[in-house]
Amino acid sequence: MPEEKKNNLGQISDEALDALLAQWAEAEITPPAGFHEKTMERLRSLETTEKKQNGKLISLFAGRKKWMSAAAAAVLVLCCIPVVQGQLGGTGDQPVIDTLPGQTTMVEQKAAEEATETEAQQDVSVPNQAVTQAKQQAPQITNTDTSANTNQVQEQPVQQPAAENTASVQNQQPQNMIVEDTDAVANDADASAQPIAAYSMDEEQPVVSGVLQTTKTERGVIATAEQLQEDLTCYEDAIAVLTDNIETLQQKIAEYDAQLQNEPDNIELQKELDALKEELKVHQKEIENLEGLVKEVKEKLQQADTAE
Amino acid sequence: MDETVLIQKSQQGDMDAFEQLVLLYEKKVYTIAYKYMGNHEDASDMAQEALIKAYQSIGSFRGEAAFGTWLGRITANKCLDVLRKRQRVQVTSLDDEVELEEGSVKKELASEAATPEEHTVQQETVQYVQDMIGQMREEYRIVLVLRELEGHSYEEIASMLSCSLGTVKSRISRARNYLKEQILADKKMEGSRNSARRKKE
Repeated sequence: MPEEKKNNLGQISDEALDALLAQWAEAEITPPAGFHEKTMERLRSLETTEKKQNGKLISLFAGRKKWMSAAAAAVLVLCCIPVVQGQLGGTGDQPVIDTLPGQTTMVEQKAAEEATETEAQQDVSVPNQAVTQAKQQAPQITNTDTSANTNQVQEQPVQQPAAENTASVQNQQPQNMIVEDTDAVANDADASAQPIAAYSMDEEQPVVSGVLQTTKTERGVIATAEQLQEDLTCYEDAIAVLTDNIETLQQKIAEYDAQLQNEPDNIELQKELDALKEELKVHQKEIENLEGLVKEVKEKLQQADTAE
Repeated sequence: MDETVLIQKSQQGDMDAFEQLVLLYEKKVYTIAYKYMGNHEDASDMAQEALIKAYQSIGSFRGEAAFGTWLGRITANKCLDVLRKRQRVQVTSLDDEVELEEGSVKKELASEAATPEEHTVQQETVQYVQDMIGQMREEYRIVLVLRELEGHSYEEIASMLSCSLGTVKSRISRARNYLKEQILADKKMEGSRNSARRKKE
């Protein structure tokens, strides 16, 4: 800085400048007229926009994207069917939860296993007795009653005390015990003494009357081929709809892109474009999920075919 | 209504309560914005942006500082952001020389400021200073506002602006010298006007 200039600046002391600046710093400046109104207007319009956007989010599945909601609901329902069937232990064709002929309860099978161990006999059918309290109260099986059944092995009459519990029955069962037919128990037992519907998930059931009885596991977890086929069709339909939508979206995006090149400052248009791109991503993700489901169902179908 | 209650209501989305807060603090917000930006148009925009930002983030206000201080910080940050962006785009130095056919001359901006004589009233003095600061290069104005208006230390300013302590000191010094130069120039102009008037008389 030139010396002359320095001298000139020296005419104004730092203290004077500080005082001036302090005065400036303390001073408040009144906003121009209409500032408050404009600010509040902006704030209110912003709030309204936010509310609208929130509303849009909430109605994401209820508004424009009804088809999406329907597809999602359908997929959910279809996915739930096999699970529900698994819980009930039956297919759509076999909704009955009761014991089927030739089938036994888990408890009964346990009892049978224990009995089998005790007896070490290979040629007896699975017992269906002395398991639940109701079973304990079942009428006494006589030699005469059981002998009527053709498919039982009878060597000695068995007299079990009605009040005895399962364990004691099991323990006290003699070697060469008589095991009666399921029908015999069913006929004789009290109505309230029906076995509790607790199915074994482990044991293969025999073929009854020439009809293939799937296992409880198969009936519960693997849906029938028919059901699976329905699922598959539904998923494929949903994929088709989504693919159409994606095409439409891609067209729109291309249009908006072109429009944006002409109007680069159009914020609204940019926002719309972003929203469309987001929607596109959602659809693509949905398709990925559905394709996964299709693959899964196809595998199950293959399994079902193999089983048959 | 109590300020705390107004803040709580605003945090629950009560726009009317926030409007009361705006009424209480808009002058302060506007003042800060104006001192940073140097003109009413930018100051209006920045003050509005700051108030909108405050409304959007009032949920995060925990009352650790006074509401006015918090609002002032938001305003200052908004202004600083804009000024920093502008600096990246346009850098015009008052010190740059303009090359002409006759040689180079120092760049001068037209001043809308009134002469010192007309600024006898305090308000006018403030306006006079503000006008000078408003004409200042933004990087000088920022350090001056941070130092003189907000009272930050050199170290704080250096940290806020991500520059060295030496840079901050240098800029403040240059800003002050610029103010002195302007005042001197105005004094000289006033002196010559007075003598011309006397001659006429």
